Amino acid sequence: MSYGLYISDGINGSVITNSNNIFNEEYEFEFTSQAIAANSSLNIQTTGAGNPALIAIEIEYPTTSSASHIDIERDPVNDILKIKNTGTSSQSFSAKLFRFQ
Amino acid sequence: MSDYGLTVYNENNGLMFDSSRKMNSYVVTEIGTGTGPNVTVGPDDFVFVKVPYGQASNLTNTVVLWSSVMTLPPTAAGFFGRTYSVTNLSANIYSTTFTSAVPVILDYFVVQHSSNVSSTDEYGLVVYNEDQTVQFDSRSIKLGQHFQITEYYQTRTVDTWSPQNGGEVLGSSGDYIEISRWTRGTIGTFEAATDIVGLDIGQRLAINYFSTEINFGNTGVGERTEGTQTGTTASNETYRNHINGMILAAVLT
Repeated sequence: MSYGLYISDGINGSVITNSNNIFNEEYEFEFTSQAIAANSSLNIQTTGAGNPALIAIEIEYPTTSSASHIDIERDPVNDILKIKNTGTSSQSFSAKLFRFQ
Repeated sequence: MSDYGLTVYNENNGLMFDSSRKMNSYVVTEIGTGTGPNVTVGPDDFVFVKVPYGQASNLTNTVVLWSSVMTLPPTAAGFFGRTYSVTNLSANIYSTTFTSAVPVILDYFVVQHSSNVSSTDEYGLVVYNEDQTVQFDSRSIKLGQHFQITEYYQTRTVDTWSPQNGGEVLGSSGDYIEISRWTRGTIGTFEAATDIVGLDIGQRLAINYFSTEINFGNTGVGERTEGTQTGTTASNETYRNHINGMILAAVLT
């Protein structure tokens, strides 16, 4: 495809805004060592996230325990990311949101 | 959302740029074939790899990982491969042997935050976020190619490979697979245990293997020499069924 916003430095250049070839990291949704209580969940509003197939969530777990107890669900209708701690003790996680569309 | 700034949507109404959000765009900064990129890869960056043309036979049953040699100071990270072989000892009991890690030559490209790519040019397009951080800087485009994400695998959702389980093929034929965010393993001549999270690059399968088998100095069945692991039963080798990290597949456009 050859439409969209073309950026060139006079020698090199490329179309950067046609379908599906922008990849952004969004710091608004970055969490570092976020604590989440036992048997509770954290809802993150990802306004404008749009098509969930084009939104990537990278989760990092500090321990094996947290990895096995933290689940992620996405509600594309309401643009909500739900992070659940299914364990019986507090866990922590880090998360980043990426967008490619 | 602010009523000022630059917002770009694609034909599917997907948001591509929005200067009111705190975003940071990625651009391709290096494309090549070798044992690792020349640019310094930071924790925010991505490294995509695939088998070079005509090299598939040399990378059969090779698990590729992104790592650096354990020296002081550590060497720059690069591509390492460990070839594995599996022996079926009896019903559902397997023994896996990994060779020592060696540098492997792969096709690759690196994508980095646009704001992290320096330039002294005084022309171009810069898109700022509301807080004055840079969302996109056209001066970071150093190459005539961009990239397209073709598949995304959320953390812990990939069906990993094991002798008992065929695993999930990542991406499509010809895709590059990102390896810097999720692969790992010790690179050196000595290992206390074999712990490998890597990409079987020929088949595009994720492998998460661990063994605590320790029996130094011998090479018999069930014993391990430095840098080489041999498991004997399912009880001392484990193929974990998940990857703790997201995996991306992409193509150059």
